[in-house]
Amino acid sequence: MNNSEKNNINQIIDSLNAEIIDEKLSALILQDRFISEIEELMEVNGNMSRKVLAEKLNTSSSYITQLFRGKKFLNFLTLSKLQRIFNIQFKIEAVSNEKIESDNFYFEGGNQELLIKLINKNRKAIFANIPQPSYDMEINEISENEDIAA
Amino acid sequence: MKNVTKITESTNKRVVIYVDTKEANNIFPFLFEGNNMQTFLRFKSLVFENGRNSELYRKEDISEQHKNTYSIRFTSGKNQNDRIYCLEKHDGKRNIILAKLHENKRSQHVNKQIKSILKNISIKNYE
Repeated sequence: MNNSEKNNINQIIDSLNAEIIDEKLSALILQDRFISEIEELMEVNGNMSRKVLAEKLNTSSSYITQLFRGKKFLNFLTLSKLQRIFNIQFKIEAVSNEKIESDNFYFEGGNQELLIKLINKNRKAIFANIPQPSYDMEINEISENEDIAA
Repeated sequence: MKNVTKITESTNKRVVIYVDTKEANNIFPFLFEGNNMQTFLRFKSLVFENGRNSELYRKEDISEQHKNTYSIRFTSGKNQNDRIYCLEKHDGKRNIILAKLHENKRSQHVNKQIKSILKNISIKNYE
């Protein structure tokens, strides 16, 4: 594997990590922590159905599904109702990011060639859809027709 | 593990995500389509924190033949019903293998084709 190919791998890994700081995605991941608690509460409360929960929240079961799917965002009024319905309190704790190591993507040894092929095949879509890191980064162009030995 | 490529693991090393190397040709390009990467990164965060969300990642082991099979549900794409079927293996760590992409799933019902996919995943000898 030459340096250009290695740089290309590093670029896609950086891009994947850059996606994690996307604000909407961060919000969805934060919401998923609440959803996880809600799903567990539904189970321990006699496998409460979404229909029953929706009735208690004075909303529809499709709205609950949209929350679970991340198509709608929870609001504080709903969270307050959930606390009352399940007789619980959501405990809030702020933890410094410095205490949480980032989870880096990486790809092992021989399979990097496969990944390079896939990146080159789909590179337009990849770089169009994924936000680029905010820091300066050299991008080594690889011809779409360039053959890379597997 | 043989036949699989490690993609990522949690900071505490307790959860590891792999892809079936032969299926990577289908799975990686799919992940870069539309909002699929967003769904995948939500799934990653969810399993790393041992969270649960059955609209995102759901157990599919409908019988003994389909043991330890799960699906990541991609509901924000054009088809809104795409799946990546997974196998979980536990050896002190929670190993999740992205085993089979299934696009254009037409209903919530688990039909014969899906059962066959799950059965194949379940008996596949990932080492």
